[in-house]
Amino acid sequence: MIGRGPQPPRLARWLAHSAVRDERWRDVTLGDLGEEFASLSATSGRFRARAWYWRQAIAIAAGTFGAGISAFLRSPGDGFMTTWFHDARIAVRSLRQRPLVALIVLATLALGLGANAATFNMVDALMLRPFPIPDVDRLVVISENSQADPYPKETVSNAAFLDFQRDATGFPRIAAMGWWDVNMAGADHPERVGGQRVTPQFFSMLGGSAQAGRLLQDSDMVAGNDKQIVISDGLWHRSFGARRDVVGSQLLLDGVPHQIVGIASPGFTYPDGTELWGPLALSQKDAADRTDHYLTVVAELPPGGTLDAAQSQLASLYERQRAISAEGTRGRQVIARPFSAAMIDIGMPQILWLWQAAAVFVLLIACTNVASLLIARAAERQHELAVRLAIGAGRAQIVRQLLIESLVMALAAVPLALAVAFAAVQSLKSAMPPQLVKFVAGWTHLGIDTRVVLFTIAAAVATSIVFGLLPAVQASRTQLTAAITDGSRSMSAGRARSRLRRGLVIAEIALALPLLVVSALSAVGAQRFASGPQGYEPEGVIRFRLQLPEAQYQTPAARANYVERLLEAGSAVPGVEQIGTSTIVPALSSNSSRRIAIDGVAENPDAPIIASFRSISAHYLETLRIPVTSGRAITSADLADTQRVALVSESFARQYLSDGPPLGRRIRIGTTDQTWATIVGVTGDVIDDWFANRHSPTVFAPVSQVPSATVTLVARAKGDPAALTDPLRAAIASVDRSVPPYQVMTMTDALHERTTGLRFIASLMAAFGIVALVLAAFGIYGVMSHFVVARRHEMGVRMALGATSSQILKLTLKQAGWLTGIGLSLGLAIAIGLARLMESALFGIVALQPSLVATITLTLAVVGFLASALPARHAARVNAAGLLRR
Amino acid sequence: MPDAPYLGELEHLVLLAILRCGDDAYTVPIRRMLAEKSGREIARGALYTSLDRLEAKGLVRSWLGDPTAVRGGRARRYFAVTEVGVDAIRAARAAMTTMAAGLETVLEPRR
Repeated sequence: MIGRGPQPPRLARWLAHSAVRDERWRDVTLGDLGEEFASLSATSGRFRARAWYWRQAIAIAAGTFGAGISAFLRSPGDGFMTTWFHDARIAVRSLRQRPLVALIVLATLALGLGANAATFNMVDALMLRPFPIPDVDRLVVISENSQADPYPKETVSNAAFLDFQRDATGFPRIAAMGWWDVNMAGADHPERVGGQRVTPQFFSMLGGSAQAGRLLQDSDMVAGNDKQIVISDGLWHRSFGARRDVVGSQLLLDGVPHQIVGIASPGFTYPDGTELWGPLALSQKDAADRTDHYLTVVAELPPGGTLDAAQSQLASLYERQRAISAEGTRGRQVIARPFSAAMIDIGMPQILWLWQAAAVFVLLIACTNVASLLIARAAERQHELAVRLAIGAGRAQIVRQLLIESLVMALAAVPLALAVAFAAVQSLKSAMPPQLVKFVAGWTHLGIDTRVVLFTIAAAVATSIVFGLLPAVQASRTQLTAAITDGSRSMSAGRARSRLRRGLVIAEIALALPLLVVSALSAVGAQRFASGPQGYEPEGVIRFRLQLPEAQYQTPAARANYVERLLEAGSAVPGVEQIGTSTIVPALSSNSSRRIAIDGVAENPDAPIIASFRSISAHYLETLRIPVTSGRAITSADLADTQRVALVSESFARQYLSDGPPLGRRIRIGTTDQTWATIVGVTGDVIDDWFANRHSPTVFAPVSQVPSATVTLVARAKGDPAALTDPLRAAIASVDRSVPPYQVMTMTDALHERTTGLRFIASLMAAFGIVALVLAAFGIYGVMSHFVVARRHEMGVRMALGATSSQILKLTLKQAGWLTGIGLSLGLAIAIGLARLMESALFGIVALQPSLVATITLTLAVVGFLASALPARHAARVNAAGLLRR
Repeated sequence: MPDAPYLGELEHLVLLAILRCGDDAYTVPIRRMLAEKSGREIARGALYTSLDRLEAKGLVRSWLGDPTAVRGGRARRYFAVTEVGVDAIRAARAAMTTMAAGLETVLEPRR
């Protein structure tokens, strides 16, 4: 019978049950509540009834326990504020009596809280609200996702976007954007500029406005009338001297005249630091394309609209598209994701949480240190506390008084912590290379603001309870008579205290070890990236990126001819040892790949072979010292009309040609060119990109046979590669002045830049690790020395009874060894868990290395040993007679 | 009736509520009646304390009903006003009426 109908929430029932102290009323109360709950759930629904039940239970509990809580919070007869001010005054006074302790506590807390404030600032600015866009919560990113490509951006085809724009009535506004990097001439300096082709609603949805001229509009979207652009405030200042008259002026983009119609408001650089925007005008042929997935589509939910409703409409629209084009939709699904989640960099949330977790560990270690100091102080204040208890203070009052002392210390540390956080954030900001800043959404609004201050105060309050509660409760248990007669010999309180101290030593070590392991793993990973083997020799090489404008270089022959002339001009520059070109070189942020068919192997349309593809000149492999392990390299004898040839990397041969020798096999590169190319050589594997592209299967073809508009010139210098910058720039200009080089840098610098993110992560983690190690060493030393001091009486007795100094030393160290051992095993478990989390956060770049973990464990064991050996030696030297007399 | 016990305002209201509830005077309808007629949501604890005090003064008596399923197998506690209780209400009312006599111009509801 009882089980029928909706049941009240169990926890709330338990609360009410325990809150009614009068037994005669307990059953009646619960009965009343149950009866009213039943009738309420029949009329207003189960959810409301449960909420009602909770309110009732809390009200009853407040009536019962409220008196006790308020007795804890204020002294009898005094108001709440009076009591707190009074206690706070006492706290300040007692802190000033021991300035050194207060100072150490303040500094420790400032470090711990400061680290947390700084990381919270990053989590807040980079993850919680990276995009300062009005109504950003209503924006979604629509993607045609495939399993092979889980990245939500740049995945929608032209035709699919047009369908969504026309038929997805669930979205009041929808916009598309596509990458459009251009060579810009006609400004003060020719340069390569990052741009986007966008649809008109793009600006209004992302909160952009024009500070001069106008934004793009529907009439610009018509092919033929689309040579209109809007430039960013940054580009306007940099390349046009912020002149008002640039609106309406012409400039050449990839050799085609365009008119500047407006300048965007300052700070508007969506997406990823874009500097100019042109209309996404689609020809009839392009508008029908469903196979090229390159657009990023942003849509807006109606006020109060849900993602689910929009998602189901999109799904049904996409089923219609499947019927139109099986090829364009194969293996794909349409998904709408919240804008902030979709636009943030993959891996960013994990890394930020890793930092925040590390900061919390530092804070916990700091708390442990402070707690152990407070316990030591409470032992010294035993007499004072006992007297206060004796003249009528309640235990609750003592606990409150001590907690308020903790709170005063924690709050006093807040300004210092904010200063630490400010310094940390400033140095992070200056350490971040400017070329990366634009890719980190929200980076520019990093800084100490009200939210950080509030967070720090809240963290300080929470912290004061964490480090203050145990010592306070422990201190309030002072044995009156024993403490008043002679505090140092009271055994029972001392035993509880030493148990607490042992716990603290274990906690210190268990917290420090994981942090050290994780920071060492990141440091080692970053080191390996920048200076480990890459598969080529970056030292001594400089690179220039070039993009041939389509208008002037329409034919393959023109492109091949450009490369030929470029190499000729370049090799004439004095100081150049070797020179070559490739479409893509290692340590670039971009990649290029092709679908590969192998002669004699049936193609699987669901899992085609996709390999990285490079169209290279003769001497390219030699210039970068990429080894040819069998067969031959590309030579100047490979021409457009000679036999079509290709090279493959060892990983390609291993993965796809394992059934025989690769030399002499034939492959087809891409889907448009039906000619077979014969494999004439195999190259060593290269690390193109540490994050996403290590030792991936690669195919090389001669640039003379497969010319491309994308060219990267690499030159190996006889001396300093940077010295070649200007002479080679001049040589490039002599070939064609309208093709400006961009991203010019030495390969070592490029590699350095590509691994900046990881080095950044690693140095931050290393900082956390060092702080943790120092705090833990001091903490262990502090706890151990108090431990020894507290037991000096026992030591004296032992020595009086005949124990030798070395026996005392051994005894003390043995105990320390036990504590360290327990701490290390707990710490190891946490460390392994944290390292696994990090492995997945950093895309498997950081691997859990047992040898490294063992080294760190050993290091911490040694630190623990040293920190306890000093007090232990002190203990062994005690003068038995002197101690016993005290 | 000089001997009738003094009634607090809440006690007065609770006694009237019990009378109004008649045979069905247990805690839930008493509290509901108070809320409906006086517009005051009385805290559960306050009502129980008040009922206890009234019973101690001998103004009400209480007994437990049969356990019911809807209350999770728990019994209702019923209340009835005793003779003394009714006297106390009368006394309080009489005192009120006497005190208010002649103040009609002030106490009449405004139009």
